[in-house]
Amino acid sequence: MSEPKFEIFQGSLVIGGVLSLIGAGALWTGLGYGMGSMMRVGAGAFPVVVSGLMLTCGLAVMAESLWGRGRAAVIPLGALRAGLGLVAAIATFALTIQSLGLLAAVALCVFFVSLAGQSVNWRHTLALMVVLPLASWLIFALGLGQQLHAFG
Amino acid sequence: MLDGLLQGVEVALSWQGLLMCAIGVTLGTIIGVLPGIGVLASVSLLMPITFGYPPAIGLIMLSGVFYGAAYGGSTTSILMNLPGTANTAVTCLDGHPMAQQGRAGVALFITTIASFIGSIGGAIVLAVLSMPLANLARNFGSQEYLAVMVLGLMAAAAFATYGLARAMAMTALGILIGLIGIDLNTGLERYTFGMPSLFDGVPIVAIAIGLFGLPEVLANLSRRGEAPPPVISVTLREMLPTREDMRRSTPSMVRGGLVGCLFGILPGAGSLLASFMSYAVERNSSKTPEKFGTGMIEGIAGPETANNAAIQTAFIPTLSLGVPGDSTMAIVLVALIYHGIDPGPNFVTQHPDIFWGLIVSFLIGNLMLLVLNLPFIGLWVKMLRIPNSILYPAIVVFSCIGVYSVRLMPSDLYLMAGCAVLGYLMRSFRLDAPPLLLGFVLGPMMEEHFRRTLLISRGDPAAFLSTGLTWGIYLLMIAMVGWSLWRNALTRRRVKAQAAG
Repeated sequence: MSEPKFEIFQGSLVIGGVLSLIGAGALWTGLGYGMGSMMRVGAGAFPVVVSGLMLTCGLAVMAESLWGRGRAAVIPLGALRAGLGLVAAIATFALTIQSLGLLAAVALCVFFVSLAGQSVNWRHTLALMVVLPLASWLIFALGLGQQLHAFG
Repeated sequence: MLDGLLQGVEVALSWQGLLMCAIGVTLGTIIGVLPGIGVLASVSLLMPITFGYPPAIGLIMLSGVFYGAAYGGSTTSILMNLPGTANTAVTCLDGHPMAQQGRAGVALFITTIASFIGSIGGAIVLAVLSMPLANLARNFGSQEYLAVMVLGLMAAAAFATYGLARAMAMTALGILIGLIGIDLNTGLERYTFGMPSLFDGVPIVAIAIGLFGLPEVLANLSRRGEAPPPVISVTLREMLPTREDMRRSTPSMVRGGLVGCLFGILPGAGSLLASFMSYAVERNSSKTPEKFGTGMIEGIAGPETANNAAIQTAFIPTLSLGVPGDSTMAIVLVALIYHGIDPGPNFVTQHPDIFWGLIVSFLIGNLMLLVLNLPFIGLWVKMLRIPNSILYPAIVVFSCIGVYSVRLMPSDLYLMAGCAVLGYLMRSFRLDAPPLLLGFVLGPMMEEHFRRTLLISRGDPAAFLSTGLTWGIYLLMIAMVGWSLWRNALTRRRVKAQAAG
């Protein structure tokens, strides 16, 4: 059985376009930093050279699709759930590490990563939500002396 | 030199040196064995932890992770047909068929011996060549440094997986990200979008873990809960190779070692390329090339030696020029700089304790790995049975703690999350991450040498090509890029011919 997925047939065209846009944006911004003189190179000179290169390469990637060498990009639908879960897990850790402390932040992070998977093994998740916070505190705060507080 | 060697022995054999070396290689083996934890992400995660130790000790541990992972990675390649690390992907080709034929033990034994020989050979080359190269580099001006860095970036791009244009675009993107922050020459903030957390630049640990560690986790999480490939079990008694095995693999190891040293020394080439090149060399020099992929012992002996030799010799450009050989060495370079050490031509003479301590620790660490990977192989095989529902949450939690503890800034975590999604998308759209990281580390240094060259020459752009050495370096670069383009065209034609015929 094949998995449900997004398929972007003009993958090269899309990603080449994105790279060109970033290159063009960086080029435009770089010009604003001032080129300076040949002897005293300004803050913009090197960024302009590099973003010009990026723009050129982005256009070259777009050209792949014109010569029939473009490739489709395939993203399985499951990646949406995995991505959301992973970002939620990291963001929750970031939001709670200072207010609630290490133990709660780790437990919440474990919870969201477990949700990110395609099937949830609740027994493992619950066990990990107890064990991993304690282990992290022992290893990183006690063992390695990092500046991490158990509770907020 | 003897004096330095003695200092090195003292550092490496101190209780702290031995302990951290043991921790490094053990962690490295674990990271190598478990698929989905990249070496680069792990080294960057561990980097902040080493700040509390003297630089020599910290570097001994980080390098231990680096070469230890190469040993562990082949175990997974052979037993599960999954590359434990990218460098050992090529070992799947003949190692896994050997395991299916009931010769897993022999394959593991040969890869471990090959890794050991490659590492020791590489370490000796490192000891011998670093001084002459440093002496040569002492005459380098800014234009030569710029040339070597351009060579490294172009080589990395030329040998990248998905073609030159994509890799060069990623290199450029990496350089631009590296320039984010306040420009030290003019005091202007560049590409910060007014965010104060970016004034000091983008933190490398968040980028490295976001781009190299988490996309793998994300890819695995998004797969349906299919059962992992079965692990083939192995006993110690099965490990002894026959005389025939040894006779066939010895010349492969010698060839692999030479290939590995060559690619390790070249900036930008690195161990991944070395292992693939060595596989090609073995196949081309075999009387039965068609049998490769069915369990040929030469196909694991050569690449494993090459991979490990390249890892050790990649320290040569990193330490004596300050130009990293590949993206993982870029992290090692950053670790050195954080420790207040400026790698370059004077490194070996100014810090003999670190340089020689590192080399002696390579010898000790590889001996430890021999013990870890032969008698204790059963332990690692058990580790492969850890279910994903435990492994992935643990990886994400350790990544969060690691990134946060560097600067205690929650914003770094959002950056890491963004990089994880970006890294996953980059994979789907076939863009390489290693050139981006190499550009990120080298970008600011290149700008400095770019400016200095023009300042010293009073604004004459001919200065970039003013010496014979710069010409030589750029010609080497053109040759490498040309060769890679020619090779790609050849592969495309072969694929097309196969599709047609």
